Order: sequence, then C-alpha cells, then structure tokens
Amino acid sequence: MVRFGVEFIPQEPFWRTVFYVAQAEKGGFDNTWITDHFMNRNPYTTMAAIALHTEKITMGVGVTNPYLVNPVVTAQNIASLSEMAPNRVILGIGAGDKTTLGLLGVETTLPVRAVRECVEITRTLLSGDKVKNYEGKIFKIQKAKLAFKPAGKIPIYIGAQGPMMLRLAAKIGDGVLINASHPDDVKEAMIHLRKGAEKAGRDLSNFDIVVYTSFSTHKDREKAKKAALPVVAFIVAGCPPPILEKHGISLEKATQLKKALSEGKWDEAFSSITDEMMEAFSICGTPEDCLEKIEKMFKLGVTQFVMGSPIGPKVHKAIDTISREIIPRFKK
Amino acid sequence: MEKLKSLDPELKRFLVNLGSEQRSSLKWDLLDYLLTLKPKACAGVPIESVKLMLLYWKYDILESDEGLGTLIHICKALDPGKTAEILAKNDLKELAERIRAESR
Repeated sequence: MVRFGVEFIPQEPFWRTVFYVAQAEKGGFDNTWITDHFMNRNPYTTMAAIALHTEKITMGVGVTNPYLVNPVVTAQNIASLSEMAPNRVILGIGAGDKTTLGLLGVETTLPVRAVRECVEITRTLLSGDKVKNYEGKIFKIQKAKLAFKPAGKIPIYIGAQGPMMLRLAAKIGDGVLINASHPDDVKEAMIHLRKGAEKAGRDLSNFDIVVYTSFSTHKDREKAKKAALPVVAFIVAGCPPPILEKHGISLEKATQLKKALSEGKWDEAFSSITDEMMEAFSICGTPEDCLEKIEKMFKLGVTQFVMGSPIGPKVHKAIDTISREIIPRFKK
Repeated sequence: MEKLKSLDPELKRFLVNLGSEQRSSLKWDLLDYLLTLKPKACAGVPIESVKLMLLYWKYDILESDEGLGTLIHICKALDPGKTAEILAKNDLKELAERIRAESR
C-alpha cells in the first residue's frame, strides 16, 4: 500500500502547523515530516503539540543533522516524543544544509561518515542499550545510555541526495528521504539504493522510499503554479550546475535568477522561472495534473509520496483538495 | 493570565439556531481568515482559546456552539471589523453589529 506524507517547515505559529497536520490526518495522510533548521521553530516542540492533537498520523523530523545536534541529544529528543505518540515517531537524519550550517561556522566534514555514526549511536540508545567507548571519526562517546525506554519502535530514515548517501541509506536505514520532484532524479536514486542494498545483502521490500516534492495544487493550474514559483526559484538558485544541466536549464538563466533573488528583485526573479525549471523542481497543477505525476513516482518504486512546500496557494484548501481528489484515487 | 470562560450566553443565543450548513460555512470562513493571516499579525492571538480551538478541531466539534464561539472569540481579538464582516456574510448581522459597536 502506498503512503502519503505532508511536510511542514515550522515557520508559522505552532497552532497552524498542528491544525494542518490534524486536518491531514482526517484526510487520509499517513505521515507528516517537520523540517529542522535552527532559524525556525524547534521540530520536537512542534511534534509534541502535534502528538497531543492527533491519534494516527506518524510524525518524523525530516531531517535533523549530526553536526548541530549531538546524536545523544537527538536520541533523547525523539525518545521523549515517542512517549506522547508510541509507534508513530520517525527519526530522519541527513547531512544538513551546508549553507545554513556554514552561517554558524559549522563545517560539514565527512558527511556520509557523520550520518553513519549518528545512526549507529542513536539506534543503540533507542534500543535501550549503552553506547560505550565509541571511537568514531566524528564522535567519541565514553559512556551514554538513556535513563528511560522509548515507547515503541523508532525507525531511522536517512535523508540522501548523492550516490554514497543513498547507498548508505539502503544499507543501514529503515527508509530514505529523497528530495526530488522529477521522475528522472528518482530513477537515478533508485539505482544507487539498489546497489547499496545489494552490497548489504538486503531486500528493499520493507524499506520505505520517501520522495519529498515541492508540491502545489489548485483547480486553477495557473494559481497552483504561481504558488510554487518562489519555492522553485530558491531551489534553482541553490542547485549545483550539474543538476541544472541534467534538466536542460541554462546556467546563465540560473545565475541571473540567483542575482535577482539576492538583490530582493522578486518580480524579476519569479518572472524568469521557465517551464523547464517548474517541471524539474516541482509537481504542480490541477489535481488531475498531479495524479499523473504521482502515479509515475509510485511506478518507479517510491513507497511514500510527500507533498512539501507550498502544497497550494492556501494550505488548508490544498489539504482538503488532496484528501478528496488525490489520496482516494490511490487508496481504494 | 488569560482565563477561559464558558460560552457567553449572549453569544450562544445567536449561534444556537444555526443549521449545519451555516455552521460549516461560518467555521471555514473564520478559519480561512485565521489561517491566512500574516504570521506577524498573529502576535495578539489569545493562546488559551487557540489551544481550545485545536481540541475542538481534533474531536470534530468545531461547529458546535462552543467551537464556533471560540473561533469568533479568537478572530474578534485579532480584528473585530473583519470578524463582523464574516459574521454578516453568514447571516449573523445582529451579532456583527454588536461586535462593531463594542470595538468603537
């Protein structure tokens, strides 16, 4: 059975995020993912409020990183949350956003190694065991153990983009979170996931392959597109040149766009977004347009489709539309 | 500290005779206003009432007299004029007038 998730960046007052997640739960969504960036509200605080106002939906931090938060503290955070929502909590770990962490002077050295060690440490602690004399390249822990037991199982997912991280996810993760809105990017990720699983002698049938998309839907296609424009603009501006080239996006146009954004020339930036950019970095349109694209993702092997920012011109209306016109088509 | 009170009997008088369609329409109009306000404009939101609203929402009783009363209370605290406009649109003209008069 395929699953649907919804991602929130906790930029708004907590009660709005809680309202939307409770609405999503009523509408048939299975998961919610709360992002972790130091400038926004804390994801665990947000999820604690969500846990108190929902009964079924699974919630995950998507994703935290091992550089800013020590794995021991991450284990403490997620285990505490599990008491409020047993068996519906997921820990998502990734390498973190280099630019954001750079603002704090945090160097993201050996990202694959850092994520691997973080998974090892958190998994040990969450199983109730002791981490003793851990001598990693990134983390050295003399002795650590949680003084309480997490409620239920807490799966660990890995946020992955590059080949090495994707292979690591398939080797040691319970699932993977892939940032991709285009089937070609998912196809490529699947190759690395399969390689990683093969190397680990692992079967991916119980492995959750989650695709995070920039999503926008509205009955009026142009309105859906307009809502997604700013998100796509920032994705293009931060995208490495090889990925832009892969999608046939002119590097010159991307550079101009980046310049316009950095100068706060929003109209100029948003009007320079091309159809190729929208196609590569978002799934947007009428519910019918989106259905076709979602189906393609599931056919590629994705097991959970996540609707991420902006979701639609008005979030509550988009959740309602998705609940009535999209999810039931896949969950008969 | 903000104190929660039971629903004002005067307010209840206006809500008690609303039909289910009218309740749904009023609920979504008030929510639409609350959920699309710029985050900065939410600074004055009566937080205890918001927590109560989330509970009503969780248990699907936001269309009850108490649920709608709570929504009206929150919206009124943020913008009495806009709240009156929404109420008037939903055939609660007398209540809308009362709110406008209170805010003058």
